[in-house]
Amino acid sequence: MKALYVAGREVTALLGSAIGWIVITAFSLVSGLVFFLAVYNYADLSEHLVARPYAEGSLNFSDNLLWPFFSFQSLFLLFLLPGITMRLFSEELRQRTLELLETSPISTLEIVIGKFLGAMSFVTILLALNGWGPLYLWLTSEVEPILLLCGMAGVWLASACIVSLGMAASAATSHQVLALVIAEAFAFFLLVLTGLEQLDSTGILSKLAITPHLEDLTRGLLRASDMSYFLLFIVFFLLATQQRLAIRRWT
Amino acid sequence: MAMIEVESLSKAYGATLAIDGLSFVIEPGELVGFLGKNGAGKTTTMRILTGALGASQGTAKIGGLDVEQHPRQVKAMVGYLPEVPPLYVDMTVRAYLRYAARLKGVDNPKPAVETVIQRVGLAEVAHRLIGHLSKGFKQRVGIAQAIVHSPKVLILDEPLSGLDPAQRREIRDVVAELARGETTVLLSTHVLPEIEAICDRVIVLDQGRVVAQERIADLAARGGRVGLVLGRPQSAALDVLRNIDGVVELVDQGQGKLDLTLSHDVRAEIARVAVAFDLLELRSLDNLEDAFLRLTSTPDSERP
Repeated sequence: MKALYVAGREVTALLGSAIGWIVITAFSLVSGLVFFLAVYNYADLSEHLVARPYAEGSLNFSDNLLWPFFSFQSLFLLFLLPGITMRLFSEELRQRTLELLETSPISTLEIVIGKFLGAMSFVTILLALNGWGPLYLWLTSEVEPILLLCGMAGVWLASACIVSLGMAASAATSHQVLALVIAEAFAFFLLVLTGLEQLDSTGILSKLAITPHLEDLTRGLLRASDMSYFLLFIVFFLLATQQRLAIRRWT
Repeated sequence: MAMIEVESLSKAYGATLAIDGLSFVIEPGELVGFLGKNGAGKTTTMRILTGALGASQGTAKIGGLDVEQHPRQVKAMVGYLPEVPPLYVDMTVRAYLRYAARLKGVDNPKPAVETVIQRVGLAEVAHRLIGHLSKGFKQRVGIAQAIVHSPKVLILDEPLSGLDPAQRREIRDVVAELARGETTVLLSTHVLPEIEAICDRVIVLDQGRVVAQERIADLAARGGRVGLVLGRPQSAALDVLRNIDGVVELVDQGQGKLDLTLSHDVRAEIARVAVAFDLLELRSLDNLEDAFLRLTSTPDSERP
C-alpha cells in the first residue's frame, strides 16, 4: 500500500519536471511524424501494388505499418526513458532525501516497486497521449483490434524493461548523468545483440535481445516465452535495485 | 523500561571504527544532548538507532524492541531529523508533510498534518514550495516531518546548525516544548549553550567512545575549576586546600574568594576541609563548553 504513495509522489514529480515534459514533447512529435510517414508509406506501397498487379511483393498491416511504427516507438523509448529513470534514485541520493524513505516503516522492496509503478504510470500517460494513431487505424481500417492492442502492449512492456534497467542504474550512483550513460549503454547493448544474431551460432545472444520478443508480440503472437522474457527482465532489475538499496545500510 | 538502550554498539567503515563499543540508556521523557567533535560517531549512532544503518556489533533497542529485528515497528516509533533535512524541494510544505505522514503510517494524515503545521509554526508557508523557503523554515519542515506521526522517540541531528540566533531560539523552544510531553529526545549539536538551556543530561562521545554521560551540572563540576568563598580565610586554609590530592592550582582572589583547578572531582574533600574555615560557598566555575573541551581534548594527531 505504501508503495502506491511512493508511486504517487514519483509520477507527480515527473509530470512537474522539465525533463518529464521534454520527453512527452519529443516523443509525441517524433512518434506522430513516424506514424504519418508509416501510413503514407503504406498507402504509397498499396497504390504501387494496385497499379502493378503482377509485380512481386505483398502488403499487410502487420509487416508494413504496425511493426515499423511500434518498433520505432520502442526504439525511441529505449533512448528516451533513461532520461526519466535517471532521477529516480540519483536525485534522492544527491539531495539526501532517501533518508526519509529509509527511516520510515517501509521496506526497500516497497520503495523500489513504488518508484517503478510511478515511472510506469508516467510511461502509460505518455503512451496514452500517443494512442491516437492506433485509434485512428482502428476507426478507419479493418485491422484486427487485437493486433493494435498487442503492438501497444509490446511497446509498454519494452518500456517497463527499460524503466527497470534505468532504475537500477539510477540506484547505483548519485550522478544523474552517469546513471543516464549507464542505462543508455546497456540499452544500446541490448539493441546490438539483435545485430549479432548472424554471428551467434548458439542463439543465446538473440534470446537476450528485446527486439525479437517485441516482434512476436506486435504480430499478435502471445507466447509464454516472450512474456517470461519481459517478466524475468523486469524482476531481475527490480531485485538488483532492491539489493543496491539494502547494501546501503551496511556501507 | 528504558526508551533507548544501546549496548556495546560498534560500527566499522572498512578498517575505520566509527563507533567502538558504545553503551548508554535513555529513560522515557528524557531530553538528552549528544555531544562530540565532528567525526566522534554521533551521526553514525543516530542513524543506527533509526534503522537507516546497520551496526557491525552490539545491540540497539528502542522501546524494548531490537532495531535490527523489528525495523518496521521501531521506525514507526522514531522520528528523525538528519543533519541535512530530507526535503523534496518541488513539493509544497503541506503536500510533503502529508506524504511523510502516509509513509510513517498515520491513518488520518490530514488532521495530523494540520496539527503539526500549527505546532511548529508553518501555517504562513504551508502552501509554498519547500525550495522557496528560508533555511529556518526548511528546518522547521524537517522537524515537522519527524514528529508528524507523534513518535515516542525523537532523534535530531544538528537541528540548530546554520541558523541565525533568532531561528536557533525558535527551534530550541519547539524542541523543548516537544520534550515537555512524553517524547524522549536525543539531540546532537555543537551549540552548547542551547544544550545547557534545554537538556537534562548529556552523553559525550570522543573517537567513537562514550567519555561521559551525566547531568550537565555534574559534568561541569567533574574536574575543572571550582570557586570557594570562606568566612575565615586564614593562610592555614590555603595550605590545607593546596595539599588535597587533586588540587592542581589555587588562586587567592582576596576577601575569602579562592579559585581552585582540579584534576578530578574532589569537591567532597574540599568541602570537608573548608567547613573548618566557615565555608560560605562552593560552586563550579566551568560551564558545559569547558567540560566538553576537557573531555574531548585528544589532539587530532593521536586520532586513529
